[in-house]
Amino acid sequence: MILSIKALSVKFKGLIAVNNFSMDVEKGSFHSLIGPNGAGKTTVVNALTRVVPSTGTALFEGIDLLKMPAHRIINAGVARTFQNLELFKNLTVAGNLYIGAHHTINYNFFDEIFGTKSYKSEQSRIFRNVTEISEMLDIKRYLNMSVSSLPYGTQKLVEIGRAVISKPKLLILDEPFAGLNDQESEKLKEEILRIKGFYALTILMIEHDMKIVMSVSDKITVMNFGEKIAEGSPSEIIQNRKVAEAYLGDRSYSRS
Amino acid sequence: MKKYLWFIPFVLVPLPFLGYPFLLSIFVLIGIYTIAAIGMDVLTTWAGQISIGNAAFFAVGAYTSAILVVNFHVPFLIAFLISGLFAMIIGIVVGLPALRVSGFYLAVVTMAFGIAVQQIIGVFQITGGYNGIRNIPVPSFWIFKASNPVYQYYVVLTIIFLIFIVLSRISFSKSGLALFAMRDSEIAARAFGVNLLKYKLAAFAASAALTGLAGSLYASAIGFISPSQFDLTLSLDLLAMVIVGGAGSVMGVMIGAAFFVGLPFLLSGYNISITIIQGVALIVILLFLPKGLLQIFKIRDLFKKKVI
Ligand SMILES: Nc1ncnc2c1ncn2[C@@H]1O[C@H](COP(=O)(O)OP(=O)(O)OP(=O)(O)O)[C@@H](O)[C@H]1O
Ligand SMILES: [Mg+2]
Repeated sequence: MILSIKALSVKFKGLIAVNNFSMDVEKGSFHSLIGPNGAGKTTVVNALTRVVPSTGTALFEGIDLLKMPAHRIINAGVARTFQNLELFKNLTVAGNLYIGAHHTINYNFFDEIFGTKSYKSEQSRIFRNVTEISEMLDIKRYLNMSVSSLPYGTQKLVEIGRAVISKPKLLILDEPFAGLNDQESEKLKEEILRIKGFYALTILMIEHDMKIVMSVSDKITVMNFGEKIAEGSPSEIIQNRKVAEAYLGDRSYSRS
Repeated sequence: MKKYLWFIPFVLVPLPFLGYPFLLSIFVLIGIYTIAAIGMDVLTTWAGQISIGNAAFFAVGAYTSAILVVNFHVPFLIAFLISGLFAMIIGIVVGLPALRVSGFYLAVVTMAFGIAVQQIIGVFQITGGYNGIRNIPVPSFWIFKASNPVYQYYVVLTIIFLIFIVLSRISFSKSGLALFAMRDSEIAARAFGVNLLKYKLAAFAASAALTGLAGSLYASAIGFISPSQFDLTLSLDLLAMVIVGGAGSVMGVMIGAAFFVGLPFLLSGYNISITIIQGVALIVILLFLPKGLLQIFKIRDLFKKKVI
């Protein structure tokens, strides 16, 4: 078990967005988190990455993420993408990927100014990583282009690249397939699986596209109204009555 | 090497004017304001913060330097460095509110700070009250008797060159990109390990230090200082220099400073309101050259882009 969430709750001024939510993610697994719109999926990730305050615990390799400041989460080995892209929009693709490696950079300000040995070797290490990731995601030709000039699908790839270059153990993807057509989706699916294998990642993915969720997941957790309503393998989830009801929209019933 | 070539014209520019010390001293002033405007550029264009109180750092640098030189006979070089350091410390304190507020609120907070500093300076005796400090000696650098403005010019240009080297070094490495990232998306920057507290304070510290150093040079170049020289207009001018010339580029900032400092002298013989010209220019530039006057030099690129 790489991540163990216990009794996680998030409140927004009266609204309970996540309520006493618990979930375990197995090391090396592809775990999907699904649920209707507004179920609280993104809020769970925001709590884990310390974007929003929360109560409960989230042990990642034994360390409680919820006790860390937001900028230390990446050091623990948790990287994420954002549902509504959060790219550095005035930077090039290379610049965006570079920031993914920010926390691994091992030189200080004086090395930078005087261009010391460690500065040079670190810079070339990062440029190598940037090139490697961009090749893997097939976005190398965009490296020196402004990220905001690229089509939506490519921007999403850059976000994934930025997360992967940080060398995470757990990669959290928030709706990576939203807004892509079938062909793009198929390509992205392959790329995600390839990256997962290559870097031995654990993946936690929020996604609405059931076809994809069913085909890639080892385990699926279903949320509704901030709570966990089901969990299991894809075949178990398909047959789950509560899940079907939640998606059919009979919310009053599924709540009980 | 190529990226330094644009500096050559600035090295050559005083040569035809060696017999015109007044013109040269205007070039010196342009250079000094360039340093302060780079301080503004780092804060706004690089780090995405806003300040309309940077005149206060300029004042802190000018007064620190003048008091040390006039009252305590400290050598200029040491006074110069202390000015930058002192302004930097104050910059860090002013940066603290930026950890909580941004945008409009930060603008108001920094403006209040700027006005407060100006008032405080007017009260104390050591700063000479509202009369200010007069007869600040012109520093002599080593063998250069710097009373000749051409020496001052090259000293200032050297400082700008050093700043340029440092900025271009960090613009594609850890700290520069961390600032850019913070500017574009705080939430993503934080998620990738950028310590916002550290980088916001660093941006204010760097901005204040550069502005303070410029203030120190200014006090010596002009020879007298008083609170009215460091008002809100100066803060706004520094911001305007960045916008007019071309945000994010040392050459752009230089052009902006030339526009705001040099133009008034050029037009001083005519009966034209400089404020109106600068105001109109600011509007025209914002509308048609959002990247500043520097864009004119790249106008061919603009056409190229349209074709593709
Ligand atoms: N920062 C916030 N402030 C206030 N309310 C919020 C905030 N973030 C989320 N919410 C609310 O919390 C609830 C859960 O939102 P969340 O974004 O987690 O849902 P989701 O499961 O990710 O939905 P979707 O599938 O549409 O992305 C919603 O009612 C949403 O409006
Ligand atoms: Mg969501």
